[in-house]
Amino acid sequence: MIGYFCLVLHSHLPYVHHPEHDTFLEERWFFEALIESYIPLLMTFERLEKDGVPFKITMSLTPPLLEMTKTNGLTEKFISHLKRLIELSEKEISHVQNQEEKALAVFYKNRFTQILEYYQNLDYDICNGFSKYAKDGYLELITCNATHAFLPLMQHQPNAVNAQIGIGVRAFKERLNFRPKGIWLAECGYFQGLDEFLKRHELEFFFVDSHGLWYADEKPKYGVYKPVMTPCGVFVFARDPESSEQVWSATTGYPGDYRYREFYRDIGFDRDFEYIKPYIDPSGVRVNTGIKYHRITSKEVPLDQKKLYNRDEALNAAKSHALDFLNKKLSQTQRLYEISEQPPVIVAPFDTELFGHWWFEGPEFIEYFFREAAKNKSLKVATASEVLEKFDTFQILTPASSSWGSGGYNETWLNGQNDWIYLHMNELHDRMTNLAKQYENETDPLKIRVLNQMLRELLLLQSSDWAFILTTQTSVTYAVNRIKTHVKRFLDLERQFMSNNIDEQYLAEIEQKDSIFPWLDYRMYLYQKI
Amino acid sequence: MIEYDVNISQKGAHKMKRQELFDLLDKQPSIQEAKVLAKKLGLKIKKRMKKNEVYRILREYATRLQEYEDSTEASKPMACERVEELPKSYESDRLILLPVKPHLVYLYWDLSRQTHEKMAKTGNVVVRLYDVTYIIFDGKNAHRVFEAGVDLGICRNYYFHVPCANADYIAEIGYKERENFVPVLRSNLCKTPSDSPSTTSRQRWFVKGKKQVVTMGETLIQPVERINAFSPTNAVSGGDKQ
Repeated sequence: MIGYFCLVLHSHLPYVHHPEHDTFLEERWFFEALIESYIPLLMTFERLEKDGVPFKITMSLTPPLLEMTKTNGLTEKFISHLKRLIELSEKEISHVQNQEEKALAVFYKNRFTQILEYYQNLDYDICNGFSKYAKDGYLELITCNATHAFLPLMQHQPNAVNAQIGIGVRAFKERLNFRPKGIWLAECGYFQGLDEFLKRHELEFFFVDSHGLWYADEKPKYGVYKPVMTPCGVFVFARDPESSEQVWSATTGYPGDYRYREFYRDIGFDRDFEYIKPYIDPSGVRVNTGIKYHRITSKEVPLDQKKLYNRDEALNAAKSHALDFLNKKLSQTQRLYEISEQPPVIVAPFDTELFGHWWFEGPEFIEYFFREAAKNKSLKVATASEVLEKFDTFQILTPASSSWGSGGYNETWLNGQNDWIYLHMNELHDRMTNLAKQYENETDPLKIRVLNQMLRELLLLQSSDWAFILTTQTSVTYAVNRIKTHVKRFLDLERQFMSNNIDEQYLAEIEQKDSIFPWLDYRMYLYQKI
Repeated sequence: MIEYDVNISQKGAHKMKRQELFDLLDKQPSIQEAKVLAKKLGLKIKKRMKKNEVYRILREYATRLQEYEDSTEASKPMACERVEELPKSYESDRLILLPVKPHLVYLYWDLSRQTHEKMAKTGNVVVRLYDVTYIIFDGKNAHRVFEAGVDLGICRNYYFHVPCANADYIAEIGYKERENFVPVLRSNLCKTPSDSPSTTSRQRWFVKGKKQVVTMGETLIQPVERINAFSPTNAVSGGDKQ
């Protein structure tokens, strides 16, 4: 054995919950992630386990995702969404023009049906699946900060950072019934001193981007290839830039292969309006259905000239890419071992949704990778905690403030397109801080409910997702509305609270809509220095 | 990091318009017809272009068209309750300084009416940025001071390019009275991220089962640090603390 490989998957979706609507376009983000990534990955794990393949993945499940997976309204909507998809794929079987398309339509019908059955067997909760593989030792599940707030831009607000971490740990425990040992910091966002907060909440390790170690206060002897320890005793893993490049790169990465499924060509856009109407957004807005018949073909070929998808060829591509990736990891390990005479630790973190949602064959790539990796003796796959067990010495250093966003620092979440958010975030933060202090001993249950809901609104406002969307210019209207809505609800509640004129019906309404963290206590926003 | 909603931005393709274009191209229009069409669409066409090149431009346009129309439709607004405009100011008299990247910081202010009036009438409002790395700032001892005049009527924030990464900054907003700067509000402390490897050759190591840290490299004295006794957050000016 000459090295370790740590696959890390970060699973996150912003909290999108609109019970006041029968269907809501942005709730599809969650449904698509379930159908294309989370459930197919669980099915992959099942196949690997059945064949006795020792796969190891460190997987974060963020609190908003954990909350959405147990929200009854969303579960019901998801089932009816999936049933409609099955119905559509049945229609497709007789609607398509040729045998190749027909075979694909049958493939989709079977796939969606299996996904529904699998979901039913999980008792309508994917966490049951993840818990099972965690108990069996294949997965190490870790948490994330409460609402995926980007912490480097909150470093001047210690109580807000503390609340994000503490609530992140609590939310995980509530859902999975055990304490997470590690944490994935939203967007890999670290600032010097954040480790103190992690220590306080008994978290043992976290991850930084490569330059978090390269530019640390002292030079890392083994670069990013061995975990280090911060002065307060929390372990740090750093991202291997080579693995990211090989899988993730837009130009040379595996997912761009011509044989893989084309993401942007979807029957939601291709079919006649009347035919597809029941399966797209009720407003008539066309959306992806998830039924896609084409392959990437070539990046130069326009969408309408893509060739038909061939599942067997695509799976062959995934197989050869998995083997190629493993070989690259083996030679990388060999090279690093020769330089350092220590077994290197290669840490490869990705967004979970890359596998399945963006890269349709991604779950199979993971499956083939672990199957091949199990056959060799020199590279050992391991979870983060297992790696920490293997070493007796750790270099002590303070990582540099960093993130895995574009440029490596904070500019994705703070630039000319989204800087206006911080006026509101900082103001509401200050007000919440003062109210939590002033009413620390409040006993009136109604007032406590108001304060708790105000904290929910603030936490949802703090999600990094809104600033991110404003930067990427994707669902801008939705993100702006979410920011406005949370600010408005917070200010409304504050006004009612201060004038002692609480509208209980209004409160109940928003409690139902923004129903994240039902156990939340506004006093979690208080912070006593140790 | 993933743009998970690109698919959403694709929604609402005006298929007819896009399809019309594709249909037209399928009919293989003459080069003149294709050029006329391209010009009507405002596309740049060169005289020397061959038919296939014009076709390619039109096809690319049609493909883009889908995305463009999608993004203008965006998501439907949330109909749950009326979304009001956000307050323009909270009149909090607060000055906030945030790190963007190693050489850029963002400053914004939220002023009360009185503060705004008091400063605006001087006609000489300035924001100042102080490099306070490794010092306890007393208002006068900064390593460097950067200054910029601002018009409160149109300006609510300021991006400062700063020369030093891994440095501590504090900002003030105030006004000039003859040559004197009169500060009105002071910001929080802001540390810019590091953008280069450390120059020290010191190494500290934690060995399982050992209480003391093993130090190697340039510091050959016996280590005095103990794990858990080191607190980077307590020392805002950074640096090694022994």
